[in-house]
Amino acid sequence: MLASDFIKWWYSAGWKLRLSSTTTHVKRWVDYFSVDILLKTMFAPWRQNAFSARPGSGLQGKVRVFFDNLVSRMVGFFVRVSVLIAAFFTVIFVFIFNIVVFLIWPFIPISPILVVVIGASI
Amino acid sequence: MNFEFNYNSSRSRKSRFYVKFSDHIKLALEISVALLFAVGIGLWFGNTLFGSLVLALAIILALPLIWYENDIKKMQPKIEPKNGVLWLEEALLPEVAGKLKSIECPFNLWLAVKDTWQQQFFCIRYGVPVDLYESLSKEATDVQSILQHALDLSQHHGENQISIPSLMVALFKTHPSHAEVLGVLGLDEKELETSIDWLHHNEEIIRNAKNRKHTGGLARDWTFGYTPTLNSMANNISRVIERGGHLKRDTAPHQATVNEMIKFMSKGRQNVLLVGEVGVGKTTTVYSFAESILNDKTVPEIIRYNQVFSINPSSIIGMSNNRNQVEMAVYKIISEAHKSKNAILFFDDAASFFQDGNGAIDISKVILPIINNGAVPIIMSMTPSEWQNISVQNQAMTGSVNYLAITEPDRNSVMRVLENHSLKVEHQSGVFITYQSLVQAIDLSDRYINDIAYPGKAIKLLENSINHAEGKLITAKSVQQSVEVTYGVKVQVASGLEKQELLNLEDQIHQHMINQTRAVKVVSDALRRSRSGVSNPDKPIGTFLFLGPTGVGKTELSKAVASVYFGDVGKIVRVDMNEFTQSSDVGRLLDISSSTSFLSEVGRNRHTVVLFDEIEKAHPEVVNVFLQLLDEGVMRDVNNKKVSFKDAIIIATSNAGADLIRKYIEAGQEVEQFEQEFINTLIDSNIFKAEFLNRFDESVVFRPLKPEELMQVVDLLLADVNKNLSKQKVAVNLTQEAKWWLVQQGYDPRLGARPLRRMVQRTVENVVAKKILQSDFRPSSTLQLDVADLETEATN
Repeated sequence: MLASDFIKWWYSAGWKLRLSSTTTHVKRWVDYFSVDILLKTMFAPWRQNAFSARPGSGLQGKVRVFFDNLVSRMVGFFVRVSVLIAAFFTVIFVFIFNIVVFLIWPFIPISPILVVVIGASI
Repeated sequence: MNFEFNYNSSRSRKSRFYVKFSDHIKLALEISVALLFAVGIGLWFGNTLFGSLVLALAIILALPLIWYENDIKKMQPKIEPKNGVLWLEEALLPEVAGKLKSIECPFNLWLAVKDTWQQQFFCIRYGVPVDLYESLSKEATDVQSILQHALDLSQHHGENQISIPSLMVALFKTHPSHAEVLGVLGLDEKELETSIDWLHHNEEIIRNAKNRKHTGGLARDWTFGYTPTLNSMANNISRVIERGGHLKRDTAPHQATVNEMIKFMSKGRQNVLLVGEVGVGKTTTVYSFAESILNDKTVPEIIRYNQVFSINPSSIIGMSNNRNQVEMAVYKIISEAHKSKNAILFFDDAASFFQDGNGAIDISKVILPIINNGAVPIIMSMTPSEWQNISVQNQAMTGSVNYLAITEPDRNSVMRVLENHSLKVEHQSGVFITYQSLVQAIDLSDRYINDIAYPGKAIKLLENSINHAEGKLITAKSVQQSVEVTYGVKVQVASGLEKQELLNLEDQIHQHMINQTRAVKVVSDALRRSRSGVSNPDKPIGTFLFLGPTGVGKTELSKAVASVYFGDVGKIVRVDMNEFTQSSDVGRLLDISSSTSFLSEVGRNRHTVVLFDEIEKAHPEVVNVFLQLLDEGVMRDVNNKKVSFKDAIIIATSNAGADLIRKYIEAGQEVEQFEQEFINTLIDSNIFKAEFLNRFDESVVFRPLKPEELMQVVDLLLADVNKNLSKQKVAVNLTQEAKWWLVQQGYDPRLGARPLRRMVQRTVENVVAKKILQSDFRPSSTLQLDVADLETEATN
């Protein structure tokens, strides 16, 4: 009887759960990589390393501060883009993995037989 | 509603699988699957058939694991009646439904909940004996009413299941001796039902600990600056919370305050001033706020994921040598917080930065501009009196800060906070805390801890009680013992030898004084009422007015009570009311600044006799001050601070109407015959107001002592002399004639027995002193004195 409960779950709620957990897993990884924060702060200075020109400083000073801030923003941009790329590939991998699991899910309970058949036939 | 249970339903089978699939079995399966996969893959390349068999076995073993993790473990009970029938296997937790065989008898229900952690929680916390459940009926009987009651309780407490504590309470109430057991446990049925909320909260804590919170991910802090100074000089509350170091239990008012904080910190001048008494929960509120901005996605983005740094002004002042250094340190902290863009500064006990004094340096010139321009979000906390002083000195500040008052929570909320805090105490000290101990902590802290507000004072008392745990359990008795040791009072109901002593209190008091049996009886009765828990705990142990001439034993009785009941004749605070004859003396009476003032003395020693000598001499306004004391057992000093007299015996003495008493006695009347008439005379002649006299538990008239009683007084005085001589191993004795001579010489109708003591001193003690100095007195000898000896000494 317990076996029938298992079979019933596997091919109904269990299979549906595979589909919904794909979304859950993708969301979890998006959250882990702070994708929304990275996108919102793409061009923000790295760790608030921003400078402002002192009052009375000449054009040269202002230009130097501008470039200093530009460097800080570029550092931030490159780090964030790198993480976003890593996040993109991770999420794609997680998504594909979950879809594959969803597709092979119905065959898993009978896979022991398949594995033995394949093993014997080789 | 009909309750049914289908042992063979899918849900029941899955529940049984859940019960059997223990953590050990699960771990063994996981290891087996991993090993078999590894071995199977390895073998595949050598012997494909054998490898495939091993792999197939690994998959077969993995299937129940997948099922358990994704379905069985996540089964949630729910209350969903179908056609008027509630199937129990659906409404119970799987760990209970999995052990349920049938619902034929109450005992079967008990077997289902037995050994669950919730059952153990219930029995240990509330002290309910397991034996009571073991003796539940095993006869086939109707359990529908039990289940209905359990369902009602669960639903009343917002549960969508028949919870274990609801079932425990419902089963408990069916036991024939449940009322008796409740009496022994000191609980009522409603208190037992609090277990449902308490357990529900603990289950939530476990659930939250398992579920990772949304904390922003790895890039959360990349847009914010570094905070090396803050990290070294402040406590990062947000980090503490992220590590799980804060157990939150929000009460409605507490959550409302946190919501207000979020509003204030999200717009305009980002500051909040939390004002509340010590112990009221200001710091805890800040922790809850910090937790909300970390985990609550609805919080405005401007403060979301901000880090709250707690700064202790005392430690900064302590680390600095002068005002400049303090200003520089604070300026550095504020600059860094401003630059980081995600730091919220929390100045705990902020008053130290707004006034000069002991351990305080006024650096408001540095902080106020920051508060005014809102450059850095700041939270401050202080007490109402501190804020009152600072706001008078710094009126500009009142318009700049967002004021939030934190008030004392009600009793229910304090209980919720204590239940929550008990987990922390248990974790740190390895003890279990009973429900009854929490109730005692609330009651006794209210009575004995006046300098801290709720819930802080109850928490303090609970933590102090760890040292008095019985085995591994903090019980009500542990809390009572803690109070007795810390405050020198008696709060436990008398037991053992003390019971016998209380029953024979009159005899013990009479060892110190002669006659006045009515006075001795009323005082003894009051003490017995107090120690048996019968009297009102919100009033002094007893309040008595002793009326009578000088030298009849009024003060002696007060001393005897101190000696017999409080164990020390020195446990007496005497206030000479001759010193309070002017209305302006009220201020001096209520002054607590001097350590020798009577309020200070009572504040330090609550368990004492307070003797107001010659109360009739006090100014009427002074007497009015005592009305609250007699009514409520508290007095308030000039700063409105309460001093409790609830563990004291209040005795006021008065000589008023002494001549009248003598006239009654000379007319041959007994005290009982004229006592009420005499008291009425005192009221009619405006010596005392009726409302004052009526507030005493008893007004007792002391009558002048008769000559034969004075002979007994001589014996007591002689006993005192012999007590002093006992160190030298000698004693003195008087003939009956000598005693009678002393009575005749020492008795004064107006001064009572008081001159007797002087007479004994001038005659007996002087003779003995000379004999000792002349070496006429050998150790272990007794000196016998006659009238002639005393007469000779008296005339010298």
